[in-house]
Amino acid sequence: MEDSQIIALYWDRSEEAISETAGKYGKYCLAIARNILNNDEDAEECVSDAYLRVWNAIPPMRPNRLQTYLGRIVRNLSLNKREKASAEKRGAGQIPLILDELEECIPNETREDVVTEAILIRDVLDRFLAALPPDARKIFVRRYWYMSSLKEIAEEYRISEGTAAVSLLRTRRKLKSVLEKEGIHL
Amino acid sequence: MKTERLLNQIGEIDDRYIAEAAPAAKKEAKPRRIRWAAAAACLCLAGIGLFAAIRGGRPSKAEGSFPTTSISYRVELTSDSGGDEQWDPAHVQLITADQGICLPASPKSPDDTGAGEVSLYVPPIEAPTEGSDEMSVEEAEEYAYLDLDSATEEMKEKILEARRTIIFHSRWVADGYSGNIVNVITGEVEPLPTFSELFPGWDLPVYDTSQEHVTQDGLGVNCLYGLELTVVQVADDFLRGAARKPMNRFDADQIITVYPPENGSMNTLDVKAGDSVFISYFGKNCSMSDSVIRAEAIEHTSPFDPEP
Repeated sequence: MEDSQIIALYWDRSEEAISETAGKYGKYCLAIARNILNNDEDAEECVSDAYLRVWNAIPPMRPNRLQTYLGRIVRNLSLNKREKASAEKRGAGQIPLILDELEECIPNETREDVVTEAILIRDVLDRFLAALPPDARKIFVRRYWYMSSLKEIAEEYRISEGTAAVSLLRTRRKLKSVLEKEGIHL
Repeated sequence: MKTERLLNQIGEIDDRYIAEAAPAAKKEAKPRRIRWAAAAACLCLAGIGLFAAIRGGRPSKAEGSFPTTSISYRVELTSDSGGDEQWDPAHVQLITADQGICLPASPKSPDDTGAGEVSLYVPPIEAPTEGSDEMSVEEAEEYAYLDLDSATEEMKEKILEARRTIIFHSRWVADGYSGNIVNVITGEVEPLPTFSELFPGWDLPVYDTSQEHVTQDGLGVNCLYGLELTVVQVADDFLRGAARKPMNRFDADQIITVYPPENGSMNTLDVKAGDSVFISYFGKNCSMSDSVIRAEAIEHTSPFDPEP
């Protein structure tokens, strides 16, 4: 089924939308979640949450690309879950609270500043990626967006793990240089 | 903290880069050979060229396959008249979601020079359109439906360009043919409208391989695993070739099918520096007329090779 038809199902509030989404992009989503969480059960939970988020967001949203829209949600949910799990492991639930409390001591960075900087960084990243050779770009995105292992990348692109690692090293150095030139200090 | 921030920001990159690097479905890796087989069969039976475009995907050094693509659609073309000996009346081509396909009409006569009408055109089904230098479809719609006969010469050109834009952003089959796009996963069948249903009174696009010169710049940098293909001349006799088999594809903005000039064997990668190959391609920034060109393979350092 075409993405536009699936989105139409969401707009019609038809539950078939979720089964069609799962049928078409379930494996894609699960792969992203697994790469981040390294746990099947957690990954499946994140993917289910993502379907629910999409259900709640469409309408009024009408994403241009359902695949990447869904992928972003899965990625964010998985990263949040991982962060929460590691925070709980560190301080039995107290560390996150303490960090929140201490944040009050840090000089204010307005919401506007944060958003402006985020837009700037996104713009720099997009321009950086556009200028990369397609293969280096795909490898970079597979590693740092999809969180794929070097082995997976090497298998898919039919290159050695060493070649993938060298490509990533070069791209990271280039990115560092670009970020410095743009005056971005994360 | 800094790295987490960077990781989060990478999460916000443009959709097209995310889609471009999407993992291929593993279970769909096998049918890649089927696509070659189908393409070769069409070419052998029909004795005509066909070309297809894939965005992304780099062939394997060993097998000439496509690690980053997966077949998701079947394009079927049938000649209503049943065709003749040279014409396979039932083309079947397997494509990916981000792949377009254009099938030329059957050869009209033994003197056919390669220029010919198009029988089926399907642009990439899920390809991004942003970033194209072409006239946008919205802009094209403002001009395409104006009266050509009463237009000034300048306006005529604009109208025709607008029509080309719309034609090459639409799915259709030429009159006298039937075509379907079949989703191989769901089995859903989409019959293609005929050209005259969509564009009554408009001229069918024609391959004209002899009028335009394609420069190296027109193709950009095309890497064929250590080889760079440099366009050396337009080949105007390409479509007359009897059984040129697709040999490999390479990664570029306008992705192509490569045909060895003679005796090429499918699924082998035996192009060497200095060899000539025939390639056909189309993409968002090229027109039908530059679709068939002759290229020369030149040694090229792969971007994957370590720096000296």
